[in-house]
Amino acid sequence: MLDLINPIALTAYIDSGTGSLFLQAVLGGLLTGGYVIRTRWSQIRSWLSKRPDTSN
Amino acid sequence: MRVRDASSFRDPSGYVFYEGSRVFRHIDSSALDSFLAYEQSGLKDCLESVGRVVKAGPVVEAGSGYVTEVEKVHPIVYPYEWGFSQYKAAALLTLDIAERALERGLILKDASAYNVQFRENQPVFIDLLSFEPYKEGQPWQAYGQFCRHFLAPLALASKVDIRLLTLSRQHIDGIPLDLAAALLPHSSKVNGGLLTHIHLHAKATHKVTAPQRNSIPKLTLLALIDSLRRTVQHLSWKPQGIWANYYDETNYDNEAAESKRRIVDTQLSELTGCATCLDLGANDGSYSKIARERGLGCTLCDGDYGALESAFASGIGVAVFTDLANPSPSQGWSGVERLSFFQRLKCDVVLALALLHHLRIGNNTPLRMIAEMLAELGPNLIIEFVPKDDSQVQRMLSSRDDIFADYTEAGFQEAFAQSFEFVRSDRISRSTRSVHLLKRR
Repeated sequence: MLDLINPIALTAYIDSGTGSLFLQAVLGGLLTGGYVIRTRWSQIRSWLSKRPDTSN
Repeated sequence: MRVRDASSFRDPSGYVFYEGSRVFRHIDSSALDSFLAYEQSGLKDCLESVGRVVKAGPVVEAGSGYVTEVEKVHPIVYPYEWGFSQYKAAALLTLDIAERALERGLILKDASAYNVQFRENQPVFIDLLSFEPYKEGQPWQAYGQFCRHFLAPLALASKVDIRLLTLSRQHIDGIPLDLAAALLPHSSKVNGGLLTHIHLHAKATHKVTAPQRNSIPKLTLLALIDSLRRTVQHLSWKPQGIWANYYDETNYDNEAAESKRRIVDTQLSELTGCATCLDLGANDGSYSKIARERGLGCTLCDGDYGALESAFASGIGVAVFTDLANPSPSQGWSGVERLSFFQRLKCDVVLALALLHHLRIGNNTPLRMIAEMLAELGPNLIIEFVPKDDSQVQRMLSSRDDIFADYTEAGFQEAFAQSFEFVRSDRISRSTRSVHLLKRR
């Protein structure tokens, strides 16, 4: 019976909620994709702004 | 004598207790490693250095566990007494701490709004046992709690009605997501963050019952926190209501306003040994500011969310949403988990300026009962009497019978003399109003 229970949930004193855990797993990929793009985009912008000015 | 905090019982890791005016946190032996990880990871120093958490002293062994003394925060104000910007600041602090914890190999195991208090207008995290070592693949256990405690009230206040912030008073473990989803307009589903974290979350909460075993990468947790942060940041509320422009609408001219300021300052100067001030009906904090300049720690109460935004933005003191006709009761487990307004907000000086007529005429409360209520809050009172010929009172009486025969300056003095001794009275220049300094009998 214990095997049916998520061992991580056993360590939490608050009820994580199966719905909340499900949502993290299902939507996590989508959120992560956007997050990574945004993070890299800011890195690219940062890199571009640091490029030496070669116009002269 | 050691007194255990009545609200500190859910987390078996430890509890808060008091000895006199000092605050301590008992740490259970089983939670010591987590607390040491919080210290050794550098998170403690990082957050303390920017005032984001209460400071904790050295950990000492004590009987069956360990104890650390923690910095006291006064007053304790509950989420259902926060204004919109306070709620938002508390939510963003919680997410900021959750992110910083993950970056240092820890995880924020709970996200209760009660873990945040305020120093003036700066949120501060008070639950030092909320951190534990992060295990690769574990989900954020506090995700649902964060949405119930922070996102749902903010979304309802922003998208439906600001007064729904007090819904947290009924639902002290956060607003159920199905209730939030039902109350939010359909248009809120256009907002990706609200669609995900409230609407879909509410559906998942009801429909998914099978245990979830999925391993979740740390990057996903950071993305989740980032998504919540962006959702919270985009929620807004514009102050509305007559109180937002109260000082523009008042019948004072500049000379009368300056006279009132001078009187309040003079009366405050006559008080000795005072450290705290409670401003009832504080509006934008103009008079709390005088108390603040005299070194008093101020709490700014108002029953209008627009005014509360101004009070919070002023940074003069801690802002508290208060309906004096129905202040926060003692409630929660056994009726004592969350203390009442009167148990938490006692102070050395009470400011009650342009308030009395609202309570007597606006709420039909007899003067004697108002005096008793104010006497309960503090030993010194600075109170303004606004007579019936004042335009503000005339406006209040314009749509009702004048059943307030006792509402005269003599009637006010007679009723208040039962609870207070009048120390001095000053008349405001170019006005029929007066300000009185009283000491509790």
